[in-house]
Amino acid sequence: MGAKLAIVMFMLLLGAGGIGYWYYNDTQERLAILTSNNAKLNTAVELNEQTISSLEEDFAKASSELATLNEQYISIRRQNQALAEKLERIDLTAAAIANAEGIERAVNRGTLNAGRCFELLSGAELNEKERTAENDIAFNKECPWLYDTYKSRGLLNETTSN
Amino acid sequence: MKKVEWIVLNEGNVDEVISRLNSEGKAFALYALTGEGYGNLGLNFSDIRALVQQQQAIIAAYEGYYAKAEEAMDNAVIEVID
Repeated sequence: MGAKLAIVMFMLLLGAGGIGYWYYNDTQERLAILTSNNAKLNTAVELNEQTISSLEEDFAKASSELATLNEQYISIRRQNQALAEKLERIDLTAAAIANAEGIERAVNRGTLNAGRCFELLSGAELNEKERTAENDIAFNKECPWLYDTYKSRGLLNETTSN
Repeated sequence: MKKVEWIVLNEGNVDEVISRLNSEGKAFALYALTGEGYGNLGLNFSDIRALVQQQQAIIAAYEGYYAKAEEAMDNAVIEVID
């Protein structure tokens, strides 16, 4: 009777041991999967944070470029308005009657300067007169604002320019 | 740019202009603009110049934006890898 009970107890213990072993292995596998998933989630979160941060930086940069562009547009419109204001003040017909020779010289000089503005805007190299210009008017009367642009790029002769 | 030479002509200097052109071996045949027309031509050129400047500003802005965006993207990738 005692031997039978011992065998039954042994069998029960063996069964419990087997179940425990299976449970341990299964838990370890689950833990490994969960750890791996957690690592993946951490990476995904980090990536998302980096993406958000990058997009925020991107947006800030786009806003900054847009602000600069708007400022330049205002400046360009103001430059363009300057000629219209000048022409409003001058009666070209009366001036041509009063001083044909002087006006002829002025319009030829103005045309030459205006053409040079196009050349400079198209990337032409500065000539000696422009490089050593002492101020914006000496640089080019038709596009004096380019003087500051070239000066800020360090392309003017600093020894003679203001 | 190619040279453009304006001749300002009025009732008082017609003879002078004719003799000047003759002395330069040129015939007296001119393409004329009124004072208003000349002013408008100047304004049109000024508008074109403004347009060129605007286009340049746009290109510079795009260039600046893409250079910075690329740098930000590269930095983000480096941080993720690290």
